[in-house]
Amino acid sequence: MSPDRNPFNIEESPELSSRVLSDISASGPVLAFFTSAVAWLLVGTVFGLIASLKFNLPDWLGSFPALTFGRVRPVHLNTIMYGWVSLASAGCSIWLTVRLCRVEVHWRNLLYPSVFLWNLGLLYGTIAILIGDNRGLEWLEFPRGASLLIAIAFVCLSLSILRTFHARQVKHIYVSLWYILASIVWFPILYVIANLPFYSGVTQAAVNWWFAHNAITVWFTPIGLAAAYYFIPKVIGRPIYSYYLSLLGFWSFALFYNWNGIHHLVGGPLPTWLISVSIVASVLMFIPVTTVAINHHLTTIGHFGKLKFSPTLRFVVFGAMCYTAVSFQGSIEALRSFNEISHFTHYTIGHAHLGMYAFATMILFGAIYYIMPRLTKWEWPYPILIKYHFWLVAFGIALYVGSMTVGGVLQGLYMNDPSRPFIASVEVTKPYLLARSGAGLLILIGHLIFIYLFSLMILRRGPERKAPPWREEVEVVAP
Amino acid sequence: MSLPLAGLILILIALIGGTMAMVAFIWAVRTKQFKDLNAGAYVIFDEEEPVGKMTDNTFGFPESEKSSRKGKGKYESRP
Amino acid sequence: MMFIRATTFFLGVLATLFLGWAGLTLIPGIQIREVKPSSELKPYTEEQLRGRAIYIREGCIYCHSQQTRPEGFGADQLRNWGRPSLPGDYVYDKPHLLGTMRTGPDLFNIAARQPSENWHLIHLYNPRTLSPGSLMPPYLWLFKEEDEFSKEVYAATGERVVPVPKGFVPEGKVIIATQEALDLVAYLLSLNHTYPIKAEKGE
Repeated sequence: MSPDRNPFNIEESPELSSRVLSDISASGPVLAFFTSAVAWLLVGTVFGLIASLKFNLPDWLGSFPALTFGRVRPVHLNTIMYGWVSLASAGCSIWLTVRLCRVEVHWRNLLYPSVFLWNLGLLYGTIAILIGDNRGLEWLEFPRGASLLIAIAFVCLSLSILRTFHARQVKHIYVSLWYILASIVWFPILYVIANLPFYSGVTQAAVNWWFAHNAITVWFTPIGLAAAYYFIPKVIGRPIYSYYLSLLGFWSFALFYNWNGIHHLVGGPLPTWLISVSIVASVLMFIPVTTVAINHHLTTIGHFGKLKFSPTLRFVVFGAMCYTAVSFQGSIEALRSFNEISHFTHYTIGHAHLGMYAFATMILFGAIYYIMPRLTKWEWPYPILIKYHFWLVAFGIALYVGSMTVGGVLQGLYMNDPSRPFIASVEVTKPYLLARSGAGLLILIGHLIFIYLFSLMILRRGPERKAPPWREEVEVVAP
Repeated sequence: MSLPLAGLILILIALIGGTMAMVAFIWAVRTKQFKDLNAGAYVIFDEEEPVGKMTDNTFGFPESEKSSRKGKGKYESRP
Repeated sequence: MMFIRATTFFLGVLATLFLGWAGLTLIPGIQIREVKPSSELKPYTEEQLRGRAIYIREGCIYCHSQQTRPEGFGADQLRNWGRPSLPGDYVYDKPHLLGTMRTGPDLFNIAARQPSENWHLIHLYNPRTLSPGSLMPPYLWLFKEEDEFSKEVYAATGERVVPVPKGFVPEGKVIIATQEALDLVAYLLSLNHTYPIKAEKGE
């Protein structure tokens, strides 16, 4: 192997060089996706904090139309969902695919345009919302032009991953790959159908929430699970506990989760059978979620001590546990008796952040901490900062979810109590909304640390730390 | 379309879909698709990163994995 | 064999998506298509549509719902927010504005509860003038600030002065509603679905 194909200067062995070659071929596109993701993380976090502060100080910056809550909030949602989470998930999928197929990236020339168009679509959509061009549908606020750009970008990603998969050099298709392959086929179809112009009235509401929940079902969750199924066994050094369970988990997930969407409209002006179907499907999710939880737990049990040594394991195990939590919570939330209290309240927001942050985002952090050194050939320069990042955002999201959960339940109870004026349901949430802003601040600081570390990695700055697998084993200096 | 008719169509779809899934499953078991199932779990390991070895030690090594060989430099877990 | 396995996988995956799509959107859509709007539900006027566009632009859906739940399901009925809403009430809504949050009250019948144009104008200018403790943003750009002239001057120019309470307006100034504010209020005042409904086919 010529030196520039073997930069790590490691002795040749067939499987090793395949892993290293996969990493090298993926590095350009994956770094492009990750860098974009981190940039949008900053944008999304700042807008999120502004939105939260607007609840504490409604007149703050009140004369700027672009900063009114009704515009800042959808910008936060869209830049986080289609920006940070989607771009990081895309990078993660590419890397996992090459690793698990033991090949190089195929149709690489589709991936750079994909990053470009995705960013362009995000920029166009964000500016549109800020200047007042909002399509009026939650999770589908971007103008159709922006959605089209993102759809094309996504299709490019799908084609590259599918072509890479086609060229695979493995006999067994690992469980993470099932989730990735399913999602890159599912999501473009979902996104296009949802953006068609044929709908109105309550049918459109059904399509709207079928889409929004299915975006979680077919894109955000599968990639998170794919990552968890890879990184937990990979970091620990033990195979997944039961492959049978993975199989059952995948198909029951695919079957039931697709029917959840209308649980966003419980009590609403839709046929009762439709709402009931989604409630039933939401409860049935206990099956796949439990299989995943058992699988991950029994893989990790006896090895929780390893969390001390691996940031990836910390973030991913945290995320995987929160997947179980948020899914069980969601199943309960869909039941009419609970929904009566929680619907229309901040409880839903807490649930959304338990899912998109405590599950999806934390796992993506873990993935990035693992993948980056293997692409940049540079070790994270200040591990202590990684610890600060972890604890800040862990406390932050716990405070966020806790405050919105308690506040939301109180809000719902007061709202359902006709002896109290409506404004009482608003007043009771105020201390919790303040706590939420505090949580947002902790999270912002954690993200600034992460962005700083990420920038150092990209630029290969900071003290050079040598660690396996690029050097022979060295003596550990006690901390 | 009335409610009973919609419900009937839905039940039919569910029955057909469920039967297809069951047939596929039975076919898969019969043709031994699941024989080497657990072998698939090992795909993520290789010679350099085998079972039993942690692959992320950004924060340091457990006692059991500390090397007694001295290397070219120090691996510090704090700056 | 690998090809068959892979093809089966992708077919299965697509089937799960389309089954869900059919069940949650296609079949309900066919069922709902037969719903006729009540004769008392009128299509939106030009002015109301302009106002609706402003409602969307400012993101009102993120704090207000437009769906009244049935009796026994929350306190919607006990708060007199209007009879439970039905698919036929939303026939002219494109996009739908059902909403998912109630940081503020449900608005589906707000015109029935609050028919005063001035109330809405003042409220949009600064919600806290009429609703202390409210978290709603002020929509200052829907209004203009002008020097105070006599009532006759404004009557002549046809500009609509908003009677914002003293203390919330800078000294010597008055608040004028722009056309956007008037449009938005026109839309809000169209939100009245308290007309009774006849029993519908297949309901």
